[in-house]
Amino acid sequence: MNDMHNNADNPMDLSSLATPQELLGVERSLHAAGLQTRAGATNERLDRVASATWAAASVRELEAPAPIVLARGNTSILTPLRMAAMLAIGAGVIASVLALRSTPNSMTQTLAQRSTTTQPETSVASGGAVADELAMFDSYLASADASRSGIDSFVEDASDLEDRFDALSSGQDWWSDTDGSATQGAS
Amino acid sequence: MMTQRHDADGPDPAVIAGLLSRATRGDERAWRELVGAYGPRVFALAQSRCHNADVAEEIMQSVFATVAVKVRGGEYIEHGKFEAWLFRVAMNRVRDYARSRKRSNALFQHDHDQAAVSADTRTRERTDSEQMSALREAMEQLPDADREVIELRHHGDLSFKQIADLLEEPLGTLLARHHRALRKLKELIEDAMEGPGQTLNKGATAPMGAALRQESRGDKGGAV
Repeated sequence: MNDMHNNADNPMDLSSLATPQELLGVERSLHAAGLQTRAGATNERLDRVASATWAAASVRELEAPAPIVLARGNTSILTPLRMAAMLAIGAGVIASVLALRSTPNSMTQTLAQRSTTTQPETSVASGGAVADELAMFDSYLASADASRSGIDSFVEDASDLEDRFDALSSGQDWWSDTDGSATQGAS
Repeated sequence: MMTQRHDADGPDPAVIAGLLSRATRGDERAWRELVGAYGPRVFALAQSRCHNADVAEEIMQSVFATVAVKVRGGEYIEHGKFEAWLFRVAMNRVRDYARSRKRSNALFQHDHDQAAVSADTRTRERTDSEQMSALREAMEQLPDADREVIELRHHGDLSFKQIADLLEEPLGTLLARHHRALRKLKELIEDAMEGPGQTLNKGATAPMGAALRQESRGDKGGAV
């Protein structure tokens, strides 16, 4: 019976030892039945199964994992317009933070003032370090002054623009710049 | 096309490992060769339970679909246990089928199965020795546990060691069960031939009965 199976040389395969002679007929019939059923797997069937299963696996593979998005129902919250708005807000926040960091605030000014007051120095080296810090604060103050002058000019321009807008709203410019005949008719 | 079929020596584990590696990388030809190597045995395992080639093909497809998804998805890591895993999946599918069949009307299912047998199978069954139908009737009467061992051994073509691993049973217990199942089959067939009012057709089982009686008298018979 050993030649009936593909693992006859397997030392763990004890079929020949386990099957007494009186049962060989049954085992022979079972073996024949096995051959018959295996023959039922025609190449056509195997091709069909191979194609179908490979296609199914390929479809699964192509399906990307679900993206992590905020969604309300079937509609994503992150529309392009909203994303652009969020990016603009984020950029604005970052710019504000950077502007604050580059402008000396009241605390840095206070520190600068304290640094300019006489302090007992313990060594020449620490005196040098303090001098460096003072120079750095001076440069900070100079840049702050420059920034403030820029801001002042901007505020001044804005104030002028506001005045002009107010004047336009009240119509005074129209009266002063024209003879009034045409604009009165229009108004 | 199927380039490799299961032969008497069985699939070479190194070849199977290579095919799996290629299939994991998306090589469809490698996958086809794997299906060609194991498909007949999986099909036979299913066919032995459902007696319907189309249903057996569905079960085979379900088994290989599961395997294909795991292999292509990189979830399967080859440690030389592909065959054991494949047949575990197959055995579970066959059990699922058997359970669903038991839940449904057994008589209707039997009629349905018989009606659905494809023309080529029907033709083959007519020309086959009726021993097969006698054996099949006897198999139906075996307890499920014994029947599984017979099916895995003779249709799935697994070694006893593989079956023991698959069913998580000691090898000795498994061998004893196989021996008991063979003896039970022999008794069932002999009873069917000799006892009146049995479902087995006496004439149909005569050749096998004769062979069994010969062996009982000590005639070992010829080659298969």
